[in-house]
Amino acid sequence: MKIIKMQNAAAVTVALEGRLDSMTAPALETELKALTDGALEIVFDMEKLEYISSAGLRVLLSAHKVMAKTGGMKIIHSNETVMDIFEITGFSDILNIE
Amino acid sequence: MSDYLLEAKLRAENRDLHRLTKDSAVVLQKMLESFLPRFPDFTDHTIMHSMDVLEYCNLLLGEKQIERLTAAECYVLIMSCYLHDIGMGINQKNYEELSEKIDFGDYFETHSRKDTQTIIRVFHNEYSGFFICKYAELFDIPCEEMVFAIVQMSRGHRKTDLLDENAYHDLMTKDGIIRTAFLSAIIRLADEIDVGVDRNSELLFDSSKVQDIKGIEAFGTHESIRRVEVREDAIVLYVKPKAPEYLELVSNLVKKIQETLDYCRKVVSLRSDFRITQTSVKTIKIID
Repeated sequence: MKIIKMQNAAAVTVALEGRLDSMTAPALETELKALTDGALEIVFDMEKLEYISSAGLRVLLSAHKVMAKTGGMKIIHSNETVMDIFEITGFSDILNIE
Repeated sequence: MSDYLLEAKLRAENRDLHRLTKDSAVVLQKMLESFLPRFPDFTDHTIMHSMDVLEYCNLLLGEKQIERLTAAECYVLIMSCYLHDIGMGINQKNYEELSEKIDFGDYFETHSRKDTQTIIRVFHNEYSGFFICKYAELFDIPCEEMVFAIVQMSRGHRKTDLLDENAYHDLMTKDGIIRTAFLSAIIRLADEIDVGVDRNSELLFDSSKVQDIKGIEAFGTHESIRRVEVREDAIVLYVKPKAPEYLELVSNLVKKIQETLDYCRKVVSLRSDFRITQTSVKTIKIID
């Protein structure tokens, strides 16, 4: 999985490419630990994310809990497969998905 | 003490598989609540029920037998405890899609109730199986053999023939053997105990809102059983009847659990070198 970060004054955009699963989620978790300290909004661009498993969802949930107290977090450009996962897991009710 | 023995054993033997169960549990907390809008009645299928079933598995197996399980067996048993009722919470889209795959037998010719809620309730073990197949990637289940085992164990918590050697055969994985029939029998018995003596309904639902007779009787039966003890030789229910008429309902429940216990003992003894040491279901009446 590729993790591409773009930062401006208001937010950090994290573009994810490939699969976010048990193999790749630890890398994202490590990246996010540094980013969530900055207290900016985090935007996850999921246009090129092919799949997200429970390991990936756990990382997003963890980031969501931290960012809810600071700058907030949102998810953009989810494809149909990823959106289906958000819906059947109920994460669409928890996360801010645009 | 048998608390969390399966989880502890898995963590000690295979940290990667243990981490997968933890990731799944986080997601399933929310997923398992999704049955509530469709079933606003008095049966608990939340993560609390999953945790209870897992705890009964720990108690029924006991420390010495858990020590003999492979990492693969610990993993599929924990995952099946989490996932066995996932079919109760499927959305309309999955209901329509998965219904195409289920063998309903002669149900529609022989039963008058054919509404979605009833169909899901009656066949929820089958919906669970097909749901797990469809979403195996979501839970990062590591190999096809483990998917098959979790599917069969989840289907097998109700109704299926656990002595069918084609459907419930031993599987080999890189993390050890999976004795599917034996593990399915354990989860079936654990589920039967927890469904029968469920304490969580009191936390989840308001009993004063129950309207139908079946619901009132089920909830009253739950309320009449105050505690369960899994002893070496017996499953003991501590009973304080809510009203005298509930004694007969408790008695019927004891018979039902005993039947399941007898069947699961037979499966375990015929299909593995493990055993269920409990031979009977007993009641002890609590006196004020």
